[in-house]
Amino acid sequence: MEGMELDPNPDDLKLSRIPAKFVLKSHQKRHVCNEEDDDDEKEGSESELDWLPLDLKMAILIRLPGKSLMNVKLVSKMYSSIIRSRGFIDSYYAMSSTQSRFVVALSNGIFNTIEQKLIFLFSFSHEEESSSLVPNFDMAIPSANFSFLSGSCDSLHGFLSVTSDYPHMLCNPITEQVIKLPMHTRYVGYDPIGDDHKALSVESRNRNQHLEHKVLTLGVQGWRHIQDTISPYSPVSSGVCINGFVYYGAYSPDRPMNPGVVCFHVRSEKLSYVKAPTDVVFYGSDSIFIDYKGKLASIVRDPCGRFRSFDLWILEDLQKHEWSKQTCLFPPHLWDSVGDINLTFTGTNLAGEIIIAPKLLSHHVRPFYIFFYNVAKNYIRRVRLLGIADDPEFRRSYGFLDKGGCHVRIVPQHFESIAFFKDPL
Amino acid sequence: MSSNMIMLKSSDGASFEIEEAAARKSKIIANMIEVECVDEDKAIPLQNVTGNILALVIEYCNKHIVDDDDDVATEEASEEEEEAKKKKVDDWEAEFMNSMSLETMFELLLAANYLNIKSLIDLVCQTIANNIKDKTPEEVRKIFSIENDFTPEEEEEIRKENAWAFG
Repeated sequence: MEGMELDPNPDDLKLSRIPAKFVLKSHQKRHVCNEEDDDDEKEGSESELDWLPLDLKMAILIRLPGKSLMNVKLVSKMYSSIIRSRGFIDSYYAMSSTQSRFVVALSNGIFNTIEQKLIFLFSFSHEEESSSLVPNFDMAIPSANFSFLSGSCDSLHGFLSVTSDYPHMLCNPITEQVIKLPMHTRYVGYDPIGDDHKALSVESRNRNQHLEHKVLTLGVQGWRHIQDTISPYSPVSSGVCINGFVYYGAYSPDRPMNPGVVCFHVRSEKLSYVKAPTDVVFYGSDSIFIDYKGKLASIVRDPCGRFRSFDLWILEDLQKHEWSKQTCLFPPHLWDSVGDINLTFTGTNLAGEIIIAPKLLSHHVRPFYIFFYNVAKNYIRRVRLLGIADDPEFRRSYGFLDKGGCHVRIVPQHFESIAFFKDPL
Repeated sequence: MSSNMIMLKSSDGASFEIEEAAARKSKIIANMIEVECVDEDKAIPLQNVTGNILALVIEYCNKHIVDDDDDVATEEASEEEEEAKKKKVDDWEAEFMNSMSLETMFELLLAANYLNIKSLIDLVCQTIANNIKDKTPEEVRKIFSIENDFTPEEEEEIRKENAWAFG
């Protein structure tokens, strides 16, 4: 672990040792003396929770929702130091990784003034067989909105990487920390081995297409130039981070030459260019790249019309640049529950179902549906998300205007983390 | 005493008869059975568990050993039956935990930890967590008699971390 990504609070941790020792003593004493004398009464003023050995305290705390832990942090120094310790943060993430949930990011309209603009983050548990789901409000990001031109959301080890009309942000819905990344940030990735979040800047230095790549590790100050041996290219799409690699669509050097995907290995900071079928980047910034069961996949559909089928391209072999393709039918009647809004593909849940969702909130109050497509079983199910689009009170209170322009982005899998960057930039 | 019954003795000298299969839910007791660790009354002595808590542990083990037997007997049970059974166990556990005070819960947790009964540790930890879940820091301090040892400045600092987005 280099640099200082997360706040380990070594000083605070020392404090937790004192009560932990005290625990054992008083607990033993308690059992021995229980029936005989009044010592127990005196010790009754001490907390039973404090008496527990550290591992049991952690076993209790780890079962709390992340938001509750933010409260428990305020109870006393000991709890604060446990919850902020590296070991607990890691255990909590490991526990949370077994609970699949998705996040809906909802912006309240491009016609609002900057002060009124908000992106709401709601999380939902993935529940199979359930035809409607209840939202859990996590937080709102002020002064930011998605638009037709910009807006993506990706989950990176407990943090959401959000692009909007505002510069790139990283935010943790549990701690409600929002980190505004420097203007140059184009893509963000996570290296699971080094436990580092890194920002990648891609800019052309001059007009002959030569791109300059710079990397910023969160918690370590300053951009670093990276040497790239990659041929000139033009990036065309937003990125997706899968298992320590960031992928984005491109042409080399320029459209329509050599369609492909740039692959940035977050740990080694090496770039490579993977050839792709023409279809994969055909729609430019409307191209869709998702994590499909740990592999990069691209969904190719008509981005404007009511498509009746879509192609799922999967990058089967990164080294050999091998892609597979299958065509999936989308039952036309499902469009009835969407209206005139374009659908987009956001990725897959733990079960491997592709989540398909409207890109915008409907102008008027009506139910909001998303779809789960199981490609292997050729089965699609519709799930209603309650309390957002169908709640007139919510819309009125939070500036969701009838004029529209309320964009929706979905993060298909997100795991709760209680990590906090003390000095991210 | 039938051959598959064993005797457990609490720290305050109370004796309990329990089916060996149920007692084996505790890894510690299972080990003690293996090495025939018994006292002069042919009972397994448990020095860290009082009688009232041991009674609860035994109630839990007995309940769960019956369930385990059921599982074996009806291996081909339908999904609905499985679910109904799980719900029955959940209901029993909820009722079981509901009947005890917080103080008892902590003693039960320490006993489960000492006796190494993982499912009981999980159950008690989850119940205590549920008690904390929706509480304010002040309420948590009050319930568990925890002293607030933050200076107002330190508390403010942590609150600021929590309210980062609007800070």
